[in-house]
Amino acid sequence: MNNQLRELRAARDWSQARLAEALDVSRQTVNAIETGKYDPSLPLAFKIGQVFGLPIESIFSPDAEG
Amino acid sequence: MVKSANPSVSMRRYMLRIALWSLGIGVVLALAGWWMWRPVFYLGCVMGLLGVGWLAGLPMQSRDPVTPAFRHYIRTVLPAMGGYVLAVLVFDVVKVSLLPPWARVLVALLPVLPMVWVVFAMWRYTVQIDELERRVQLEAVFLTCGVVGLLAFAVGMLEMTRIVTLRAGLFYVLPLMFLVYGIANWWCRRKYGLKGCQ
Repeated sequence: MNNQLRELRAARDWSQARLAEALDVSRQTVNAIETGKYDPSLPLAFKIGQVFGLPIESIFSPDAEG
Repeated sequence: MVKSANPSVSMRRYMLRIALWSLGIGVVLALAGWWMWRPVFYLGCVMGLLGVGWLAGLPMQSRDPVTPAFRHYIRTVLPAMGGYVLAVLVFDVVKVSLLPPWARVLVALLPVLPMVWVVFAMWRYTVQIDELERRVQLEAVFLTCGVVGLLAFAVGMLEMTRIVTLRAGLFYVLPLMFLVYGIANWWCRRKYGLKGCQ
């Protein structure tokens, strides 16, 4: 799955630590999502959408073959 | 997930403190044990080696603040491990064969009690961490159960053929589980790009 997390975070000038605190996860988890090493659960994806004020489909998209 | 209470202490610094304490206590015990009692000397050597191992692993630790969940875990596990070591020393000193059966059972089960506390602390830590950390724990525990279970099965089969004879073979299952879990945890964390042990 692809995501726009890094771009959205950079646009708001937030650090990974600040986003992690808003999402109630560790900074390393935010990093793993941004680098595509981990796809978040649906509840966490909704929470990410809520934090950025965007629907989850505008943040996450399936891989080209998916 | 439990948030950091004191952001000024990084994970690396926290592990440095634990490593130095372990190294210091290890050296003192090894020196004292060398003159007084050999089991304490070996205990000191093990603690010293653990300290050196933690020092060597410091570059792998993250600079993120240590979380209260991890701090809580360490504060529970370290005294429990100390209790385990003391109980094993008692078992080593006491002439078990001269004791009545009830006392033999008591002395034999003494080291189990602190380990119950360690297992409880591990479960509590798993409940407090975030979803990715929990996934890592799940994969590490699955690998641990698989590896140790298969190994125990293989050794059990070999024992039936009398090719291998282990005295108190079941005793080694728990330490082996901790060892395999440590390696599996490191490997699973690496897979997701996570640094250190938190």
